[in-house]
Amino acid sequence: MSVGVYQPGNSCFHRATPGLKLAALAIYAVALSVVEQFVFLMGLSALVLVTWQIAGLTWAQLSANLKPLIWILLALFGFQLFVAGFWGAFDTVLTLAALVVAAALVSHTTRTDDMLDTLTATFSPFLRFGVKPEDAAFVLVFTVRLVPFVSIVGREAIDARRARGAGRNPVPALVPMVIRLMRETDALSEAVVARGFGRT
Amino acid sequence: MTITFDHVAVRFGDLDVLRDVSLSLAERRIGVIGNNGSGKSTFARLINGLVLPTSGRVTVDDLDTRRQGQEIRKRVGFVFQNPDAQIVMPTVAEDAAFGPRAHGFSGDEANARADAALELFNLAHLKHRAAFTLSGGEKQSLALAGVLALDPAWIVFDEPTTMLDRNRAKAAMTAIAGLSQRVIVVTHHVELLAGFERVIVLSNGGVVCDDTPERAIAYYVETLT
Repeated sequence: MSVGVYQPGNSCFHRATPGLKLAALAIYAVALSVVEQFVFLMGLSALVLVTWQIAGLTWAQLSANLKPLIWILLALFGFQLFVAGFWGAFDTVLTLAALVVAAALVSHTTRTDDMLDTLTATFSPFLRFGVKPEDAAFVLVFTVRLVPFVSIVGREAIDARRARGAGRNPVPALVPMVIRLMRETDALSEAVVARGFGRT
Repeated sequence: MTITFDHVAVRFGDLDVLRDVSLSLAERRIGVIGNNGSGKSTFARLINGLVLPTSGRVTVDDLDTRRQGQEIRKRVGFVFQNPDAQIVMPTVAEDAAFGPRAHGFSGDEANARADAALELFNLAHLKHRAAFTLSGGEKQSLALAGVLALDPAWIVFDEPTTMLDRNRAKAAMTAIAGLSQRVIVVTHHVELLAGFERVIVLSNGGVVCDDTPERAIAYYVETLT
């Protein structure tokens, strides 16, 4: 299952402009962070699930987007449990999960090219401050490409340790993982240039 | 259509990677061979400006890689050893259209070029798939489709078969043989160069033989392996 990758469709979400979807996402994120009453948080979480259905996306896709976050969410829940109690921890984890699903909804229903055009137009006022709109937009979009890549490299680093008899502890695998990621991203940036992006 | 190396040297820190290379490339099928560390990959990267010479100059149809890299990259496509490192967009269709878009083609034109290139490699039915979920052979085809979407005059292949099994390597070489573009293949698999017009042998950063495939490969096998 592809995390954050465009899924073709004809729903109203697919047809909406990327700018409108990004604005709605921003408003949704603000709403999630300011609501204090639990019932409203549940309502906002339910809303994103309903829109997920309306967009024609599947529950398997939803689960694929949340799966990589499970450990982070559990760790966050454990920490918050001590700091803010059960309902505080539940509130934090639900807010984060709802936000991730909402962001995935936008990326699953928006072509990367359309997103690039919208972000390039959004960043164009910053040209006078030396920001290259195309570059800034590409960096944001390229991040989506890197999500599965980082996950694969991380899994391979852990597997390589296990193959040599080490346990499942992911922490010692971080150094080889970061080194390999730096090497691979260097190769990717070379490919981006070779294919015509950026430098003269 | 000529690529020219004029007294080109490349130095990384204290390391001389290429030393005083001067030659002119105009044949349709050119092979570059040499052992690891001979300077092959640097030689290939100089052609479309991914690496710039420390001294001397490289030109493609009189365009200087130092100043006109973007225009040169439209004329010279580059296929990397690892197709994973060449795929830069999330889906197959978006990746194939990346090159044309980066070179300023309109969205419709870029998509049309991408569709035609995907059709050529039987990847059209996978156009909405996440690119990283393709098989190794499909990724290799996508890498080539992404380059062909720009219809370059030259295509440089850096070790195109190193990461492939025998069958896929054979398929890749058949695809390369069928290209209408001028092709430069950098490899240490000399059997891939059958039917080529010219083979250049590199060793320790210099050209040690530049001849017909038969003579150059014989020199390489007898002297350097």
